[in-house]
Amino acid sequence: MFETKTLTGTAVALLVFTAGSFAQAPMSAEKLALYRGADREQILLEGARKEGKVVFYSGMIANQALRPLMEGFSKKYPFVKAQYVRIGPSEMLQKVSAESNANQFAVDVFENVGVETASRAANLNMPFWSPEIAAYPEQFRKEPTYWVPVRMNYLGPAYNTSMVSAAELPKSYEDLLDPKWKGKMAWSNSLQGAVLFVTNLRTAWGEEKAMSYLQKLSKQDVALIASSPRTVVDRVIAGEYAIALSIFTHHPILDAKKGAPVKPLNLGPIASTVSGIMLARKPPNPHAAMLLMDYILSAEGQKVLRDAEYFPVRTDVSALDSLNEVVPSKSGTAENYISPEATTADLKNSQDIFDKLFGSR
Amino acid sequence: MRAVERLVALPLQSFLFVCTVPMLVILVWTSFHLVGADGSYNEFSGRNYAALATAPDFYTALLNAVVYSLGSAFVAITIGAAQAWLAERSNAPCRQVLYISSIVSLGVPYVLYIVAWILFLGKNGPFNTWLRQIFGGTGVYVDVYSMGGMIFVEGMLWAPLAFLLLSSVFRNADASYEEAAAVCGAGIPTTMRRVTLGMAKPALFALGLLVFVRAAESFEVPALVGLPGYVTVLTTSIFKKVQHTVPPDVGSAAAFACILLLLMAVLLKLYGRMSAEAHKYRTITGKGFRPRIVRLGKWRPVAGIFVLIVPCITVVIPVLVLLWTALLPFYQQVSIKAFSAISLQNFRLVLESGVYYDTMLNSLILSAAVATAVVSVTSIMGWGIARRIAGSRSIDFLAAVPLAFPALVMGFAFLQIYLHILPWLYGSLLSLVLVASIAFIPYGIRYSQIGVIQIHPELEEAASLAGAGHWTIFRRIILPLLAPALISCWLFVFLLAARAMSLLLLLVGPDSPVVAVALFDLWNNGQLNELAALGCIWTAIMTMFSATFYWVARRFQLPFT
Repeated sequence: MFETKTLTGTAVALLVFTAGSFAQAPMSAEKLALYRGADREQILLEGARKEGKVVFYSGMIANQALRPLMEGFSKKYPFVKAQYVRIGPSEMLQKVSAESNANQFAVDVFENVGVETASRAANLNMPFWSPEIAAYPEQFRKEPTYWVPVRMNYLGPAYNTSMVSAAELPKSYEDLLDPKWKGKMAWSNSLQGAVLFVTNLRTAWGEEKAMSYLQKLSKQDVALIASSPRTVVDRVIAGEYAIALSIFTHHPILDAKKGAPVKPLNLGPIASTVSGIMLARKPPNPHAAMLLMDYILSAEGQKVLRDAEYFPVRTDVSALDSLNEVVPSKSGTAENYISPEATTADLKNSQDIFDKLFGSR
Repeated sequence: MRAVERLVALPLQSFLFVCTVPMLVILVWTSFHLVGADGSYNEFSGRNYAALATAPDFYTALLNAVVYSLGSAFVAITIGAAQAWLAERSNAPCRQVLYISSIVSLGVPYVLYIVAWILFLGKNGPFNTWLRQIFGGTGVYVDVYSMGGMIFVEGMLWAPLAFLLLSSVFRNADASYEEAAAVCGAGIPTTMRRVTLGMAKPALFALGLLVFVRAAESFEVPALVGLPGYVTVLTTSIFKKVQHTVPPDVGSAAAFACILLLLMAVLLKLYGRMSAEAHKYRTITGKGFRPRIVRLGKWRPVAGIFVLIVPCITVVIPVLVLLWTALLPFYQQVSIKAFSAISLQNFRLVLESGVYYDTMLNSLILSAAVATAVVSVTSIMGWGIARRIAGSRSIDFLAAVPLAFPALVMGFAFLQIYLHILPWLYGSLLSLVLVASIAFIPYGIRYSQIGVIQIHPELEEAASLAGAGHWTIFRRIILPLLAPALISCWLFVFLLAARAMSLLLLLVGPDSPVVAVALFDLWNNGQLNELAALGCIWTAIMTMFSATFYWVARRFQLPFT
């Protein structure tokens, strides 16, 4: 028994040797993440086969995007069990921070909205390289690469079509201050909701103009929904509120297709943000993790997201035409790109402004 | 005698110590540290508390929390007690409806329940629309996003539990006192006020305290109902610290939680003092007991209307709203146009996606395991506390610790414990069972304690005189008499565990999805109609479970009635 084992071991070592590969100890996760050798693919495949598993935390909507994405990956690499946890940004940060502090990562790869800078500050992730990065817009190809955007988000208002007639449709942010909208608007308490609304106006208009506007808006009794911007759209569809502020503008289009009385409201500046994919600082399955990142960043993965009606970032995969009306560059509405760095840098101030003007009664 | 008691108490104490003290330590430790961007604990300082005391909204949140919790406890206990008395002690018509409806409503997870109420009472919901049709005008007659709305929804959430708990109290009440009152010429109202309610006082107080504490710690109703109207309570402040800030301000959140903990400790102390006089209320005595049924006479139809209206509010409306939502592609009001859009598409989606099967199975396993664990441990503890065995005070104190923890905070503490001490458990279903069992120990204790308090020690003394040992007494006397309380306890914990959401939010792993968390996720993802479909299916399953269980329990109790 013992001998057979040793024999097999020798045979394997010999095979590896003759195949011309390294007979050395496996690469560390840090090295592997940045490895650019010609045999990268082969090393990843071999390693992933042994690992047999990969864990992804993400904020994408499960049945719409996350599940098809993971299924696509499993089809391509059937020997890796692709597992995911769908989780909101704050909970994800808490979870990964706790894993990181205990030095017990369960997660390999993670992605969410507005967490890139915080993850970096908390030392949750590490730099990586993927051949797919070359297909991304230049502004995202900084080295060392701690994150690469996998989806674009456009955030602006939307309205209930049976509550707001074409004639009274707000044409500017100023129009939202009309007393007739008092108590009829809502926004989300999440990072992409009310606080991003504040950041958007501050960065687009400058502090003074934004502040004077927000002061007037605070008299309008904008309802605070303790959930994602997506839920705010639902409340508007249900007729609870006439106008949603700072929601993902493609959501109303998807709902309108099902017949819901809701439409995006193209008021510039529309805020645009990105969601980056990140590699855990100590991934338990580093080979499979790199394969998963490659897949999500690849044209194939981005097409899955495109078909899920998300906005891909890759230069060679564009969003569905049906979404054109909410892509500022195509609809002619002013766009205000807020980078992850800017989001975080302005967060505290925007939060304070929000608390001061709209805080509890 | 004392030595034997110590032998019983010691393992219980150590067990509770291991279960509760680590999370307490983690919480207090965190509250005294400034937590860095990477989640590391920096300097030891009291600054979190200082910041709290000067925060403008702290006192508002505190006051709101008290009003909200008192209100919810009042609503739940009033409605629950009235139902329980009618069901157990009167000849009101359709009494069975109360049991059925309570069981169904217990099966509805919080998130679903609240969503249903928001849809129903919302500005554009059916209720306001009807009021507008009746009274004219275009205004909003009832604003659910207010303190009143919060109290109503939370109170209604707890009314069925209050009912089930109190019905066992009224069922087991010693009729001789009431008969004595009647002999002395007291009418029904006087007897009820001075005798029936008097005897139920410890149970009412214990339950009121339970609902008060749970409301003070609740997160779902303050977040979903309170926040849109900017009504903040202590938990929403904690929630904001953790959810609105990047990185999460864990230090101040912990400080908030510690204050909450302190408040709860004071309340529990009060309760302890009150129950020190509990011997007055032992009602299951060595004499035969059979509670008297009060004939309502001309009030019977009125009682009948009450018996039917409350279940309408607690069950029929929420379930109908959910069913309606589940049949539509997107939520809309009841109209002819909406009727034409009805389809079973959402149900098909839920049933055809394999993910939901695993999720539901996990939830069932979790709930059954938690209920079994809690009942086995707490029946002995409850007896020990009620009989004041050596060491019972520390058991009582330790067992109450989880009660003082808001679910969100406890989930956070256990995340730390798992990652630092038990990494191999992290993310597994077993880890969820463990944390939920600890969280629900206090409920088990209250149940068995209420049960034991009612059993007169003369029964045990008689057995002891007849030569029975401690274990025999527990097994042959206490357990059978306690059985109804324990069975209700199992059911109660089973349903609580199936509903637990914020407790498990951070602990769920890829292999351990559970229904309550999945429902919350669907709500956040805007899959309202899929949520309603999954909710309807899940409610049906839970109802089947609890109804079967309840039926068995009733059969089991036959010898007593």
